[in-house]
Amino acid sequence: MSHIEEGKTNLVFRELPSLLRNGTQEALAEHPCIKLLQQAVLLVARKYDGQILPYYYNYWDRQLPTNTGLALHIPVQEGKSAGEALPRGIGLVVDAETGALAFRGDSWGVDPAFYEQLQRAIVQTYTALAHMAVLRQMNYEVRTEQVEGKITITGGTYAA
Amino acid sequence: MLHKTIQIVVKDDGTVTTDFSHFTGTDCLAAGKQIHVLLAQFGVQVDEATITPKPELLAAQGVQQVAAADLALSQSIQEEG
Repeated sequence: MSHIEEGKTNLVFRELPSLLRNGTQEALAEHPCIKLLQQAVLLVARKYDGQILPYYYNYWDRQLPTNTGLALHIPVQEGKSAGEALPRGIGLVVDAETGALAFRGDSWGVDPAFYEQLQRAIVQTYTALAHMAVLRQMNYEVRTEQVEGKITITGGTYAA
Repeated sequence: MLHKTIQIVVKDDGTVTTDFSHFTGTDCLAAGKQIHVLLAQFGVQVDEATITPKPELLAAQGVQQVAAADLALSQSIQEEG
């Protein structure tokens, strides 16, 4: 037995600004943070029957590419409120100076609570995936479960 | 023997609670530090972290403090002698 730690997490990708300035798109796509971010957005997209595109649309339907190559789009679906769709998408952009993750897009017509919920889901999923990767690097066996908005990751040293 | 376990709960407000169990002495603190270092590779920064020790950790830290005090005392006696 030992201790319990509690803290608030922030996503700041310190290695990415230099890669954004000097690297190629291929090098960026291969970076572990971008790969994990893609996995996180994909999991959220699946949950909401959405898809990933490398751009989002502004109010005038102009495509705006994201520097991560990631934008989540959720079409209007039968049986669901139009406010629970992202027809213009929401882009994931890394600040070229600080490396901080930001969400960009036109949220007109989208339920503000839903818009916020999606952003939180992406950050939460990324944070959970990062913790899973870290525990595996430390040679722990990892199990996960998601209950009522919480993701629980358990790492154990079960091997002989 | 009980296996070391680390349980991490990630909430949608960005709060993360990490519970270390069945560690020996202060090993859990080293494991916590290692997690923070490895998380930084993925851009995850943990701010405003609070640590709540379990009784076993307090006991281990107490033993270490007593041992350190004994060592300091014996060193000062040797220097004086």
